[in-house]
Amino acid sequence: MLSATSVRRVIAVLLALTLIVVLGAPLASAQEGGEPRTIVDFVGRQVTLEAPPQRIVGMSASISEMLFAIGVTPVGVTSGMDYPPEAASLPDFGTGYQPNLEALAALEPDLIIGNAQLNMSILDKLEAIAPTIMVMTMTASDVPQNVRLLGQATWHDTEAEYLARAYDGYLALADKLGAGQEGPSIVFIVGTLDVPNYGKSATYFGDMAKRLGATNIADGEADAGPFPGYAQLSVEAVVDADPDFVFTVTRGAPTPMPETMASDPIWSSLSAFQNGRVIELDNRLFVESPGPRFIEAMAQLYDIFYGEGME
Amino acid sequence: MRAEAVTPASSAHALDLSRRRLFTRLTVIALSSLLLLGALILALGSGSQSIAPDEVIQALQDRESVKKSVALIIHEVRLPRALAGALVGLNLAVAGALLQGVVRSPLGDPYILGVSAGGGFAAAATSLRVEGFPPDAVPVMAFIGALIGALIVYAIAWDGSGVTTTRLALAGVALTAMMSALTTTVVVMSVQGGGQIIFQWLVGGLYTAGWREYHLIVPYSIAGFVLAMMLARRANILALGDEMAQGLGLHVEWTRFLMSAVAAVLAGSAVAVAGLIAFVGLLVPFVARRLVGSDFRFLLPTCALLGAALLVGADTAARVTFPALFDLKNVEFPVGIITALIGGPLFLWLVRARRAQW
Repeated sequence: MLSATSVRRVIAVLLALTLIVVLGAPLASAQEGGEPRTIVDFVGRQVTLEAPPQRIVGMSASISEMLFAIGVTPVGVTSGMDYPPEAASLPDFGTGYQPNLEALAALEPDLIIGNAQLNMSILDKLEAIAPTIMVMTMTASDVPQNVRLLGQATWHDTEAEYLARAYDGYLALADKLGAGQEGPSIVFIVGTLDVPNYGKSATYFGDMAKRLGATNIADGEADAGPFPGYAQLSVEAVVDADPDFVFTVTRGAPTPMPETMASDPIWSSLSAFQNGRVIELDNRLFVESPGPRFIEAMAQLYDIFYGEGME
Repeated sequence: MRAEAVTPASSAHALDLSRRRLFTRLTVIALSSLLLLGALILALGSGSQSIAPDEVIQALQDRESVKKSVALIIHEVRLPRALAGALVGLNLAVAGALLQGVVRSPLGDPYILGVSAGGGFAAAATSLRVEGFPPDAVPVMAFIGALIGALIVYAIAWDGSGVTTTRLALAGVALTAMMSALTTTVVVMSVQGGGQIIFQWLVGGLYTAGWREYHLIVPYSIAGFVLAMMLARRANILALGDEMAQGLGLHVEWTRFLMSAVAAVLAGSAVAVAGLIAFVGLLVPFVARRLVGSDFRFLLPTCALLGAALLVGADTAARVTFPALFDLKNVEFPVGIITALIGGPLFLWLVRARRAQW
């Protein structure tokens, strides 16, 4: 026989349980998701995900930043990632182009977001570890669609959709701002003065500069060298064009290019150099990590071009 | 066999000697198998993630009984890489032994003779420049390139009666330089990202060796080794010298061609999987010859086992020991660096010792 108090207690517990179930339902459905999903990735592969992935990794800083942006904290990141700050404390599994597969497997990911430019040759190894989706972000305008794709693959559709719309709106606004401007002529060099790669408007940085009204002196040239979107110019061509700005991202040398130029008679003769308009850019922000921070990058660039905030 | 007055005593003595010799050879082969087994166990047990030996064994016995990450690391990362590496080492060592028989010089290494370089160029050109070229057909192209490379060097170094070590080395160096230049050209033309992995391939690495690569190379290894063993008796006769071999009814040039072709199959498929790995074909037959003598029936299996063990061991060093030496995390070196560091000095010594005879 149950006493009155016990009955009351049981009812109370049942009520509490019902409450938890009812209130928790929307939350649970957002996490559980229910239906499996088939994602079509950048290279056209169809990848079916049975349930919302819980342990996600991105194979580049660019991808990981997009994950963070839609509210997904990856279980590990590529080495050297420092933004957002919490990324620095996550376990790292080596570089994006040659990840340590053991370290990657040790994270037990259930979804890998690969870089279609760097990781196609190891796709079968990544697939052996976890379902893999390939994305590629070349320019700022790729960011909204990739954010949507990542949102779909991680069941974070709503967050992704909001962000993607905001990005689209920002890009449209930036285009309007840039269209009305008599922008500067620029040259953009990645590498060293001895082994320079001249970025055209097809690169992440070049595209942002072009949207803000800049003219890139390398744009007429064919792609050359190891990176797509980059050309090889002669120093004569640069001197001849005498651009308003020289942007550099030094890679493969300890001394930044602006300092090297100071002791070079030809480079230091450029107007840009004499006007203090040779600027070393942040590698992550402007080259290596195309992603949500294009907003910050474009705002900085607008400031540099026109000397005022982009409001 | 030397013709001597056969007395019952001396024939009994000879029988005893040959029996003892057989015993030594079989012992060496058994020990080489153990060495390979040890190298494989070491490879499965070491890496950037530490997994205890008993856990490795447990993971091998039953995949489901261990943590998911351990199962993934053992079954999808370390095991296929170790097995593919073993086959690459086997192929290169057996190819080296065959080529040494062909040119009758200890410099018969696929890497030195331009066989690897020829195969490498063919593999790079087809896989990087021909759009939609089936990956499974790359070893076939590598084989053709390797064979052409071998024939060119051989034709240049041949002076009617044989090949001298110096001519061989010079012809090999020249062809390798040419082929590497062409390969680099192809790579530079095609690098769009992924450049680091292609770089690994040029130095010879197993970073990309997984199950796919293992399945790609395994038929070539089996076919190549079986064919090599079938040629062992002829290779032994060839080793007696062209005149003697001809006298014994051997079609000398045809035998040479067959041996080169089998070596090209082995070296070509190894190159297609792991790129240009230096000196395995030089180092292993050199050691094996000292252990079991120059009878190809024993030399080839010994080379196969030792070659596999060497490459698996060297790859473990490249993955684990070397990065630890430089205090690097999540970075590995191409195994070709290790084999070159061991094989290079031996090559120099061989050239200096001018050992045309062996």
